[in-house]
Amino acid sequence: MSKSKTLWVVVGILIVVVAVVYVVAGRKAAEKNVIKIGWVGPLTGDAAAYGEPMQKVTELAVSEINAMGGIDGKQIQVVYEDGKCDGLDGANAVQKLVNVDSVQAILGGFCSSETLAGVPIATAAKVLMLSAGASSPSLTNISPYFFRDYPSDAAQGKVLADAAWNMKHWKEVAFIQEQTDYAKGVYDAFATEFQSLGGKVINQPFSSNTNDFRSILTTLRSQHPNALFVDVQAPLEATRILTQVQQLGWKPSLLIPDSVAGDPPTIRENQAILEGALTAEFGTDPTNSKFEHLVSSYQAKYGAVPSYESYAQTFYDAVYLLKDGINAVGNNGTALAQWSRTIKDWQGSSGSVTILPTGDRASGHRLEVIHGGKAVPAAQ
Amino acid sequence: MDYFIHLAILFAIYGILGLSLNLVVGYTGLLSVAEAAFYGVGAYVTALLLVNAGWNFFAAMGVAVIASAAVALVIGLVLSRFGGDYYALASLGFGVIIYSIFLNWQAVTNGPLGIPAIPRPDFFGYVIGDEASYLVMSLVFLLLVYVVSRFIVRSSFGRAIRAIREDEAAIQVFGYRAINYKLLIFVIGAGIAAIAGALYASYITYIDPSTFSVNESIFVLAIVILGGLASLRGSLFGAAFLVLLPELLRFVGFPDTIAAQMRQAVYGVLLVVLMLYRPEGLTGEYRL
Repeated sequence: MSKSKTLWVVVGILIVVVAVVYVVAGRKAAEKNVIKIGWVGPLTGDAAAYGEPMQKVTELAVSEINAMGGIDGKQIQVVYEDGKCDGLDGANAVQKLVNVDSVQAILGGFCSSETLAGVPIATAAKVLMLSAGASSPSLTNISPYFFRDYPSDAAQGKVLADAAWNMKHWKEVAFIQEQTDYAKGVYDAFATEFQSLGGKVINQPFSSNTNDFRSILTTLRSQHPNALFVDVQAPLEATRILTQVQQLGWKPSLLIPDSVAGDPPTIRENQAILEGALTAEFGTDPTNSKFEHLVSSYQAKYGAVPSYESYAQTFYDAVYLLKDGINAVGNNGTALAQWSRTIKDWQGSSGSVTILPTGDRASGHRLEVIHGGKAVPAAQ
Repeated sequence: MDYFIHLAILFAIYGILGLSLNLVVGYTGLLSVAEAAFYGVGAYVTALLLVNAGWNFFAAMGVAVIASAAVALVIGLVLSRFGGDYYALASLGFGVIIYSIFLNWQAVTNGPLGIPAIPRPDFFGYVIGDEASYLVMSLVFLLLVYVVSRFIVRSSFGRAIRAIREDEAAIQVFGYRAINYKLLIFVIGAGIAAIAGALYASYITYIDPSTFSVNESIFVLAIVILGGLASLRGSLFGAAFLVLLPELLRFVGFPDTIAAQMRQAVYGVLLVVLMLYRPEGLTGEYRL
């Protein structure tokens, strides 16, 4: 019995220590003249490859802002917590930031899982969460206290539908769609937009382990669509479908999603049939002066170009967005949440940012054309 | 305060997992590394019934317990034929298989994107939405599981599984079918793990496969070994210790750039030190 008594004492001491640290940490925040911002991202584990450079980008933006006098004379202090790209750790991190550090705004999570687990906690505590990396369509309209400056996977469907109707003047587009949430998200967004413009969409979904697409392709071909959208999760399946399209002697105009366009070997391998195909990627714009500034100052500070540029630019912008928000409405979660829905044509390193009432970024995917085995920006 | 309540809820969930695994690993001496699989089955079944079918939480949890026990029965039929190190390896294999199903059966589990917006429990019209009442509910379940586990280990059945731990051949000589006992305790453990899964899914309101990987099984195993094999109280200590320790390390004050990495490293070192000086765990009777 005495052994377990000692143990209860040990556990009790642990709890007391946490409590003391909790109180002390709370005091410190009140004393200092700083604005605390929470940060959640993967700092250990497999996804740390993303999290660490994003932490550096955040540091860069914060040091720039603090060097210019901070916000209203107050310095920004970021509290970094490890979300490990995992729901539980994301929830732990958000819970700690909200309750112990009493932050009003959290930059994160990087992964959709951390974010999906963290948003309900932040919402209950009326704290704003701003993600610069989570792209899951499940996050659309999840909470008034959440927004993201990284576009949803579904956003590209809309961009492509607009291009198909306005630029190519197609009236009917055929889909060969894999049954995954990503591909389904792209299809849903495309179909909604294209039909509202007056176009017609026909769809033949297939399950992920299909190898023979000839009957689907023949059915689609018999309806004489203006173009074929190869809507798949992985580049390998696109290669398989495109090979069978060629074997059928069909030469349709093509559309592909960013899962395929983002894989250069697949584009090179299929460059003959893909020549002129439309796609939309959330890429970077090297001619944007703010993006140039980000790359050069990152290089000056860390001695290397930023990795994962498309995320680096949204993280960099997210810090500046928060700065502008706190400047405009003060460091208050509810006020910031309302302010987030008024962001319109905000100019950053990732281009123009407009936040929709759903909390999603309005644009961001740029229209591209496959040309000579490469995805190049489309001439409007 | 909510932060403490949050940690206390996690303690309750991991306490249940620790008790469940201690029955299998501690009392029966079967080194199972498949705990996360049953934890996951419990979480997924509960989440799917709540989100897609709009079931009541407690009914969904009941079905989850049955589903998890059924899966354990199928797996256990094979697993119970193994002993010692082979048992550990085979259970690891099953753990990986179940994890792959969570990850790849996209039509049902939504694959790597997981299931968001899982509702909180509804107790006859009273929604257990705030953290404090969720803690009370979790502690009630922890207490229930503790009482049931205590009953099991003190019954004649409990003495039989302890005997299997000491000498499987000897107990068979006395006419016990060891394989049936091994199977039954494995199924019971899986059913209890599903309770923890249901609590987790509804508390965090979001699940994805990464939570139920082999790492999680090893974490629960660490709770059992650290707390003490064949000691129910030990599992609770282990859970409290392993849930609180990493959170405490958040406040040590490492520099920002290495804080997360140092936290993991110090956590690891502390566990190694503890095992060096107390290999039988905090309150355990046996060594592994």
